[in-house]
Amino acid sequence: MRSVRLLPALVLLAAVPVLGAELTGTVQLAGKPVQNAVVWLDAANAPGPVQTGRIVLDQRNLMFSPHVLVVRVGSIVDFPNNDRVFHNVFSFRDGKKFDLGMYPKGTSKRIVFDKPGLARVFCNIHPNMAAYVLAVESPYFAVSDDRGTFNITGVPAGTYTYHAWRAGGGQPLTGSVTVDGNQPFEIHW
Amino acid sequence: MVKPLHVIAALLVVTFVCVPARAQTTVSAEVDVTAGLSGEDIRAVASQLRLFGQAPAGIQFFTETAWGDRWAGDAPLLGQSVSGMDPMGSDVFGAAYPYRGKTQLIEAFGERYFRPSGSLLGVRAGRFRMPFGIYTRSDYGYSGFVRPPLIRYDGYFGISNNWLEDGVMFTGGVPQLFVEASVSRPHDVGYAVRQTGTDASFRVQGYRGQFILGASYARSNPYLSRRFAVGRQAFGGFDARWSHPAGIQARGEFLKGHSYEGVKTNGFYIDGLVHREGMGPFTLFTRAEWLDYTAPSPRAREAKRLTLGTRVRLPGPVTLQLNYLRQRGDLPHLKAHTIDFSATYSLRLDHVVH
Repeated sequence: MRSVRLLPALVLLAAVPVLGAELTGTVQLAGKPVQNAVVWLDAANAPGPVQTGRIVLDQRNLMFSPHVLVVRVGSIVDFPNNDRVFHNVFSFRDGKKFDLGMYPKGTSKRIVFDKPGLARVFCNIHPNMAAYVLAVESPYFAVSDDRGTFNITGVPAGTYTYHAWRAGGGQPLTGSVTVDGNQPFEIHW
Repeated sequence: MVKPLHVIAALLVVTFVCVPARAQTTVSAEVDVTAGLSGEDIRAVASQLRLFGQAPAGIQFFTETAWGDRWAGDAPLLGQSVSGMDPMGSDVFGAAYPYRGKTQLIEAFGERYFRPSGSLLGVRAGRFRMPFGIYTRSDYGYSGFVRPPLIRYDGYFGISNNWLEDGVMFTGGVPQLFVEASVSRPHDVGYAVRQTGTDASFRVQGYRGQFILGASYARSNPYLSRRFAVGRQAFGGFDARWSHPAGIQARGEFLKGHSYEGVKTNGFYIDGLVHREGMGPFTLFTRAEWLDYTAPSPRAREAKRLTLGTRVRLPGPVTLQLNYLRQRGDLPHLKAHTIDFSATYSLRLDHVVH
């Protein structure tokens, strides 16, 4: 009986074509890997949902996690307070501007990032809390890990304009890249 | 003889250790160095080291060690001979920490929260601030006010931010409505040191929309000598917070009770804080407060204070605090009008244990 139920799923899985290629690469600054750099490809009219799951910028142990979050424009980001104290999350400078006020542990508030740009997120109580939320008009983006590597999946093969951003004041980079799933892509500041 | 606190501590250890770990282990270190100058001719230097993070088994830990000292010019030492009173006769720079010229362990606790079916259950063990009103270090150490509220300082016959507890604290309810309760023994780090004994506190907090409301009750022992102060200390109070998305906040506490039998203390403070778009690194704030201590003549005291101030977060890890105060009443104060200034350098390091 179980195999009968699984059969349609297996048939469906086999029929799904490969949706796109991968763009894999590294981000470096002066020869050293850059963590938390954001790389994205221009594709404002790309199909697909704005977001496929819950996106969270957590507050725990007096810090935001992750430190850098990238979302597609229109995404809803949850800001749960999982700390023992109150926080006052705000972003006034660029990108999406908001002030969440205070809310206690175990509760959450959410923001729709409905315009592209970089939101610098702070806590008005704790001076060492900071994070970035970058909203981009593309579903093709990634954040580099501690080895500086990134991986953008599901990209239709072709040539794109890419952008790269990193925290710390470096100028964003822009250029052209061909996505064919073969060549690793290196970005150097 | 097995003491109740020992039994509770053993149960906590079993609870912490037997629950499987899920979260990664993190350790963060935060160092603050503050230097301050008051128009009351008092200077201060202080530093705090905090270690906190996520331990195995989902336990969150927090420790804080502090050192601070103050120096007065020609100002009189108004409280030198009064038990529990700050010897300088001023509460300047005392918002969250004592200034006794020695290194002291302030808080050190482990805690674990559980979220079964959307509820909120938690247990904390170690040294912590009693859950009463607006009570956390964050609420006073970062706000920009250089001084504590009158109802929260050593020797003012209310409660004190320098009062710490060795014991356990339980949290239960749902995030929108929960109870915090503690049972403990005092371990005070300021000038007002309570008599030893068993302390108990209870606080309920509700949250809806832009409002957070709390009601508290606590029993402890007096900080004055048993020769003068008999019976138990007991306080009840209400606290409230309100925040608006336009960057405006208000908070406050009302306290009523007695620090020993035969006297009464009433008091409140209301804070307003504004940090709006376009203000950049500036936060403006004000505090209005009142304290009334009713006791047989001539010991009765009353004091009022108004504070206006700003906190400036400079680019990088430096924060400036500037307060103007207008104060009057019977509690020790050196000047009716004064200005307090302090600068804080803060550094944080995070480490993830793989």
